[in-house]
Amino acid sequence: MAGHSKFKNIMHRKGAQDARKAKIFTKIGREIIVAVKASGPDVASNPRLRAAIAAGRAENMPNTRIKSAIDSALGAGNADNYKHIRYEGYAPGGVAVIVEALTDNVTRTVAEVRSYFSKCGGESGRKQFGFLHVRPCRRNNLSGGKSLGR
Amino acid sequence: MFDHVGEIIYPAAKASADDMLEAAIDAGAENVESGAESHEITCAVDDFAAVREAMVAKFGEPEKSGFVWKPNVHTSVDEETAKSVLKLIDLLEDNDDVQSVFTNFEVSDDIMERLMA
Repeated sequence: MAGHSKFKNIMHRKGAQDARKAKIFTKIGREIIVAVKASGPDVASNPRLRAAIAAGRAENMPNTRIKSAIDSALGAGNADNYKHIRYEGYAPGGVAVIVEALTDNVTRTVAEVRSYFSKCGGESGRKQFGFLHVRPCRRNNLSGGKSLGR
Repeated sequence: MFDHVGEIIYPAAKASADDMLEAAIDAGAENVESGAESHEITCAVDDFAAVREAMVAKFGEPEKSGFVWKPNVHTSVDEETAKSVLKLIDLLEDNDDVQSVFTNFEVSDDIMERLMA
């Protein structure tokens, strides 16, 4: 595909900018919490946690943030229960979009995601893509492979 | 429209395209796309752990690895549409709950460059 690498290149640069936002740490932190809750804090036996920590390191996430995410997942007082949801929609021009989210409030997240789609002139909330008939992806097993795109 | 696959990315400097391809096939991967900047290895979701392990044993920790939705049909869009698609992606990614966003849009390089400027 001609020019494919250049597009990637630009996307990488954009990724680097985004990394400057503290938000990326929130996202990775949440992934760490879910990974620890699913399979425990031992990096050696928890590939998902290993991948999440590696992603954090790649974004220069401070070790203290990584550790505090693990601790908060183990903390007795932690009632947060993140659910993995996948949302599908169409952006303008018939561009297909898949959104994966980890949320403690599905209703809120779906409402927000929907509002972005309508703000940008896209359509969402329909179950459009054939791939839903494929077996649910592994990460989804956490939440029973729920899809809200219907 | 999308395939759910495992993806492992190494910087291009890590190995030659041929070496990477050979190692990836030995590890059980499905495909390797080597570009100027990186090697992108894709594999079936069920094989991901095994492939990743084999690649790590050979090349060390990858730059990035995880499950992605890879579009198998691309939708070409013009500049105006690309603008609103990018705006939508930004809005979605700015949301704390959202972990990742995948799309299948495709624009020409000069449009992309203008939009990113």
